[in-house]
Amino acid sequence: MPPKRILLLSNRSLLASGVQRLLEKEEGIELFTAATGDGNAPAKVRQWSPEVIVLDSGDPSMGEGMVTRLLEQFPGARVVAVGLEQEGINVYRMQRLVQTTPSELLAAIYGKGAPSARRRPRKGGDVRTGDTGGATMGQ
Amino acid sequence: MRVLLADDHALFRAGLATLLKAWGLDVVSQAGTGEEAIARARELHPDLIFMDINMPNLNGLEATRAIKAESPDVKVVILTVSDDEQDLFEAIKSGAEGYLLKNLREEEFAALVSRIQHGEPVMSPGLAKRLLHEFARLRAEPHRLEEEVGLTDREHQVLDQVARGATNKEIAAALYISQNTVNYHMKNILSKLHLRNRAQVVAWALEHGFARKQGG
Repeated sequence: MPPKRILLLSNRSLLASGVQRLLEKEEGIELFTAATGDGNAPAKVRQWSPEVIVLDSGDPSMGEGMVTRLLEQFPGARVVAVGLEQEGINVYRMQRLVQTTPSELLAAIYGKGAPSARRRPRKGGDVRTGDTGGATMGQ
Repeated sequence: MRVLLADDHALFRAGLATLLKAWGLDVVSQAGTGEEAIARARELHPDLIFMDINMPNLNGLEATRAIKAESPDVKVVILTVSDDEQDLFEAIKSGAEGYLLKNLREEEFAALVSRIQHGEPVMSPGLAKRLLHEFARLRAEPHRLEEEVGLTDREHQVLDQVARGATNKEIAAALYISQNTVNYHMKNILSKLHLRNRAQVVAWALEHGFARKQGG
């Protein structure tokens, strides 16, 4: 099974940076990371063509408006928002995880009940993180 | 530096552990409740604990007090979503060496961790100012509070003596009044401040700057 293409939209909060480090270690995930805050999130999603977008729901630049835009412009992508606080936006088709565990995040990324939602020992294959731009990975 | 993480948000905690390890710190254990934090601290004697506040089975402030009572040399730095001033003041009173908000950027946090490793107390920007304001307010406000509460001059004098640890007999001698009169004033003080016993009166008086202001 090809690795799942995940784009982490990160404002480098402790939560987002921690999630980045955790996802970098996961076999079965091809992780791309892009900075938020410049209003260019749609361009970055277009660039990396992810299957799943992960973001920090506490990120001020990832409000309801932006998330709705992403979901509208990229109907094939799922959005998983992780957060620290109970309150926050809930947008249709965005999956919001509060007070969650690493395995619950992985289950949300892989899709509920997927057997590959587990950590496997690294075989030496690298997970790419690309936050400086670069060639489009293709559709 | 050997670090214990105490936080009931498992994803945040796991991510934080990975970050700290990448920076060369030794994360010796993780706890999800206040009780677990106390047990792990007792068992492993870490150098530093990052302690969340809101946890089930004993919150982080209570756990901090318990850990500092047993092992005063263990550094405890609160790492929380709460910017509530009461939590901040309670944390400092409980002996925490720092109070950080979880919305820090990775780079800011890295710089603060470096300061912790150098033995410095740390606080998220803006919180130190609030702490200083509150301290200044406590020193400046005893009179204003008394007006709000309706304490008389004599009751004020009694409170000052109580805050210094005087018994009712000593208060009577100091103020040239009878012990019965002191009892009467204490009863009124308890009623006006909605307190239940002398210990609470002492705590209230100290918190509101009594005993300190006359002592300079």
